[in-house]
Amino acid sequence: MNKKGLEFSFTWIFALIAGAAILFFAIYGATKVIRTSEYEVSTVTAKELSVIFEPLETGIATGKSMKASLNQETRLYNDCFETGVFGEQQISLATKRGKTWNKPGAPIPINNKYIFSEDPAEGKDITVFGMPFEFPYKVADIIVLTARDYCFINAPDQIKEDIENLNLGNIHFDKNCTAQDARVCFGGSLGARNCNLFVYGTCQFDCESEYDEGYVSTGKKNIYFARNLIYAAIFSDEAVYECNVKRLMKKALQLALLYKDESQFISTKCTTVSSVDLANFAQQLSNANTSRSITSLNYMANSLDSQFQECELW
Amino acid sequence: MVKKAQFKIQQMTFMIAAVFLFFIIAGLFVVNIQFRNLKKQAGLLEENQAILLAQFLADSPEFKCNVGLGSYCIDTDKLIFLMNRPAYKNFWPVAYIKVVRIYPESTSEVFCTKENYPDCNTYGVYTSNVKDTTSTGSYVALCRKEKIDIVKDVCDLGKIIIGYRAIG
Repeated sequence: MNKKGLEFSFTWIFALIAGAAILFFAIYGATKVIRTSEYEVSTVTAKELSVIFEPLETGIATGKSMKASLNQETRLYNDCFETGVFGEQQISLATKRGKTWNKPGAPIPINNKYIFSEDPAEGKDITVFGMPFEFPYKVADIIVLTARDYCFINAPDQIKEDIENLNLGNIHFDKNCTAQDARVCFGGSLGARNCNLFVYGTCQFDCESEYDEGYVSTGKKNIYFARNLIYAAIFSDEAVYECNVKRLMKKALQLALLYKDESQFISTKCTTVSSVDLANFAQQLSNANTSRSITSLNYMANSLDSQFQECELW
Repeated sequence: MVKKAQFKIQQMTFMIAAVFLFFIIAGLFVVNIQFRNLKKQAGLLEENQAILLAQFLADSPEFKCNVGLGSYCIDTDKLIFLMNRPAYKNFWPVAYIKVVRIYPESTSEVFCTKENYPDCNTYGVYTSNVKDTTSTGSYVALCRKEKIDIVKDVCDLGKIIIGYRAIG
């Protein structure tokens, strides 16, 4: 009787231990599989997102926009690196499980695009728009990613027109704003209360608008812009903006050197922009350290653009 | 009795090992299928990127003609200096970029250099070390400045060819 009892109990203990081990490995395995597939989905979506940036190349258009609707609430991380000839950006996505955010997927490296966004940008619908950055030649397309709604108060007509042409549904003006919108106030304007950002135009000479140059202030720090970089400065995280401006200056530098070679080549046939001035411009671009230098560079860019060109380089 | 118990333990151990082995093999099978799908998806994304790049690369500042000549136009006076420029190594996420003149037609392929330009028809803009490649392309105008009494833009018909890694 006793022996039988012992045998029964041993079998049960053994089975329980073995069962627990199998169950543990099964649950562990299933969790791993779920995490891996979430990581895979985030990585593939980030790559898909990087592919849809290609059609935002504006060509001769003034801007392009699109809306990316994701399956669920997503965080987009935007890491920018200044190293190398052109620098690099890495975007990665993280999805939400319950109330906690998953680990972001593998970062997708991009070195021929300039993506400005908050870091992280968070939402289910991401609005993306591209605008050319000309300095004075086209340097690249600025790609802006926004995942929240904005309210522009006292925006100049040119900016209203640009935004309306892009048909961006998440940017409202003055009276059409809601309480949830991030408030962007232009100038020290009337009614500029509870503003998240202030935009100041400082252009005084040779400008189409005072907002051709200026700075964006959060109240703590200013970031400087010229031309279409105003949109990047408004919608972007400060660190991402500064890094991307540096990357854009690196690209402008390489293009200045390319145009310098072309200028020397075609100057035997016709007059064009001076290759010496292009070399000087390249030199100044290589010294650009922060967005603060953009104002003086913009002055040089304007003077290059005003040179007589029998043969236009750009 | 002890022998019987030992036998039972052995039997159970083998059973557990068999169950584990079964799950491992089934898991490997699932992982293999998933990996194959992922590889296919990666190849598809790379292809899509190359197709889109072929459509829009001509409008990027390194290639495009001056504003007056509009879209889908490559400035070959600029292209000749862009070819194999060290700074642009690894800039584009593709295996190679080639621009070919299609019309006026030529009987043989003549690679362009600074010495024979514009009497040539193929511009090897960029080549990576990727071996297994496939390609996609898009038609463009190839324009340059020519001085025949007056300076004017002379344009030919060409194709921009983007090579990308072949997967699968």
